[in-house]
Amino acid sequence: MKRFLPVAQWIAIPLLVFAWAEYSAKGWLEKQTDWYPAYGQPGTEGKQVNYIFIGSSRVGAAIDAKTFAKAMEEHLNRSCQALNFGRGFSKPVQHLLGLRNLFTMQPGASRGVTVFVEAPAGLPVYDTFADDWYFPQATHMLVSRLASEDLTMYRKHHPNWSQQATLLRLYACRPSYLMRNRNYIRRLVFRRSRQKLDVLFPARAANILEHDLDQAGGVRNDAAGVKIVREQIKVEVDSVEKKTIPPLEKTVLMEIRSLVESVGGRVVLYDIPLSDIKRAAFTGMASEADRTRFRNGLAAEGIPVLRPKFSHDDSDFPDLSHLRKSRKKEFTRHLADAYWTWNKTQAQP
Amino acid sequence: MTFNSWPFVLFIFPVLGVYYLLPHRAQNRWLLLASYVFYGAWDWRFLGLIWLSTGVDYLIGQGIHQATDKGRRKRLLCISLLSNLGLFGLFKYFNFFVDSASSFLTFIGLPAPHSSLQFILPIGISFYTFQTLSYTIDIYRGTLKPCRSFPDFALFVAFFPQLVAGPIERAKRLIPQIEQQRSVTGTQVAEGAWLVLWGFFKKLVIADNLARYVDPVYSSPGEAHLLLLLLATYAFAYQIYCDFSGYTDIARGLAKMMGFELMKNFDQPFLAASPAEFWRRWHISLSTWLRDYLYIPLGGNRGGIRIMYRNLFLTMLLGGLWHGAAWNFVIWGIFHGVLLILYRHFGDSSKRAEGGLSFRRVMAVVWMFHLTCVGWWLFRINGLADIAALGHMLPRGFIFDGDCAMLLFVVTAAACMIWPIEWWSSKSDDPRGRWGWNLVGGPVLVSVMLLAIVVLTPPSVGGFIYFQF
Repeated sequence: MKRFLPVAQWIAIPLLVFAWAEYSAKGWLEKQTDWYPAYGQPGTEGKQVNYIFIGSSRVGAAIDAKTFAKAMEEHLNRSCQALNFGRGFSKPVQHLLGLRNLFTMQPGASRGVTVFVEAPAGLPVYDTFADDWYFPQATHMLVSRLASEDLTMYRKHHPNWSQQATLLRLYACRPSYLMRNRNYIRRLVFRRSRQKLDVLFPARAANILEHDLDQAGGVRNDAAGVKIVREQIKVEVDSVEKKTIPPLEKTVLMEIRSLVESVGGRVVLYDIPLSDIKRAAFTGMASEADRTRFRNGLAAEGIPVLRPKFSHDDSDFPDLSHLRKSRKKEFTRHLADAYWTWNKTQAQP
Repeated sequence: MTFNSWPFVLFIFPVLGVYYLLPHRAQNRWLLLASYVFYGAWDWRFLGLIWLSTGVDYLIGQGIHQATDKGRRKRLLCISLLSNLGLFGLFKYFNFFVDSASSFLTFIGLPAPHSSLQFILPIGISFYTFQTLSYTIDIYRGTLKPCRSFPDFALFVAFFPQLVAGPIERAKRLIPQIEQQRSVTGTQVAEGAWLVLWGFFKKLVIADNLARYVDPVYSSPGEAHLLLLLLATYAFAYQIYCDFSGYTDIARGLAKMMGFELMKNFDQPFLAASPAEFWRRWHISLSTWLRDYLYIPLGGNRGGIRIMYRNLFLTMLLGGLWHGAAWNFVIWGIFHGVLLILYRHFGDSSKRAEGGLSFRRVMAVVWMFHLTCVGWWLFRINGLADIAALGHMLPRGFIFDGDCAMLLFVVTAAACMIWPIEWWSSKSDDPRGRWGWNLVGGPVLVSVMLLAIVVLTPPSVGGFIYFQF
């Protein structure tokens, strides 16, 4: 018995430590990182979902789901449910997979849903499946949504074996909360430490250390955050290279549309408020002829681009990227009105 | 392929698995093949350089040993020195000297010829060149007999755990281990595994996270202030220590798991109380190499105080240049040379303070740490213009803000993680004899370290700093 004790100790103790860590991570992270949860956000369990907003942190900052739902309730005289899945470091493919999982797990609840996709400077993000599926610092946002068949699709569009091996490794870590959210946990550890220290020692000089945006949507309105985003935008604008916009049918957006239509819903694009510099960056990414071609393609496919009447200037973007919190509801209401106006012109409300 | 990459994980397990099944001779051939695969995975074209160096030194080693004529022995040694240092100089310093000469000519108003020839630095060339040089020099000195088997010699040159960043092993130590039958014991595997784990912990958890705080400060000297730079330099001192000693621990651990004993390359260098002691504790394989093959042949401390100072200065200057073909490394070498001379000249008070824990020693250690930090600042800057940026930082003075607090926090956290374990395991590589290991201490420590590696490793891990040398 004594002989086996050290061996048992070397098996049992590491197992206990990892089990404890996994259990703690699950309890701690379940609410924080479950971005497209199977049963929606708190309080939405089993309820009909009418409107879903997807996109980047700009969507997270500019859309107030409750205000939108309330505005639509007033127009329709019935209860409405809206969800905002706009999140920093997200990619169109992640939204596609997230929506697919949501529709599969709550088939009835999403029937006839309208999915709003941001169209910065009038065009949606035109990623194809061959583009990156995740940001390296936010792998958990893809991993939690992946199914085994998605690996086949990834392999088809990313022939590079190293990329395939990376995704396979990430997928293999999926069952463990600790493993699949390790980047998130790591960033949170450093970020929380920084926040606590910032309270004790407020920034007096230029903050040059923090290079991460906030986890929850990439929105930061503190001096350091604003500085980082301003620098990022400057780099973006300086290094803007005109790219060829891919054919519309190859974009992830069209796959999202097919998916949404398969549950009887539809996709609506909308022009999201941008600061002048950011708008210039978006319009500078492709030639005007290319943009017009893509816009015409959208029109031919019957995908509307709403343009809410919302006046704004650069002072409404504290970090030049994200709409000021105090104007969030106002924009959302304008968007709801624009949608309602457009909706009335459609045969099927 | 680097130790901290996924391909290495896929590489090492089959290598070890097959290695344990093979008899001695076949083990050596297998390791040689694995070493070439390991190196070739980075850039197979540079395998030619290793083969050339191996072939030349093997033949010259035999030639020197067989030659009875002193002149012929000397000529053969010169061929070895010229071929090794020629290749080393060409690949490592050609760009540097051409660029420097070009800048100088422009500076004095003469037209500078444009060179379109640029050499890529083959990874590990500084390490394996010094290793093979020690082989031929030792044979020339008559302190070593040449290796009989060519494959065994080739393995000595290319042994993958230490091929790209040392320790720079002496032929006297490593070749006998290659030639003799090795038996890998459970103790060796346990010791090796511990070293590998500790090395990965230092690199992935400490060094790579510190880099995230050091790099922004050094890449924006126009914005930093003095206190921030000071703290970033403390952080860099820990970063480079954990990066390099982490690599060495992994190399030693892997070698140990295959029955080899590589030399210790670090011995708690930040506890040094003088420059001389620092170099007895930091990158020991390089400092002893420089001592044995440069400082002593130059005359060492024989021939009077001026000659000794000259030798110290030249040794450290060349030691600095060995690190990298850039002026900041030259200045770093000069700085350490001057420190050694000054300590010698004014009396090495640390000698009196050595041994025991006295207030005098503590103060000497703190002072020496700050002096090495000045050196690390010179080592880390991105160019000589950054030295001038120091002048702009002075008016900004010492502001203790959130950035400083964060740097202080990460440096303190790093120190608290490293030193207890370094102290705990300083007497032996085998942690099993240490206090608490056989109760729950060992399993808990290993589990927590693994957990930290899983959670705290940054998503984009950096290469080892010394790979660039």
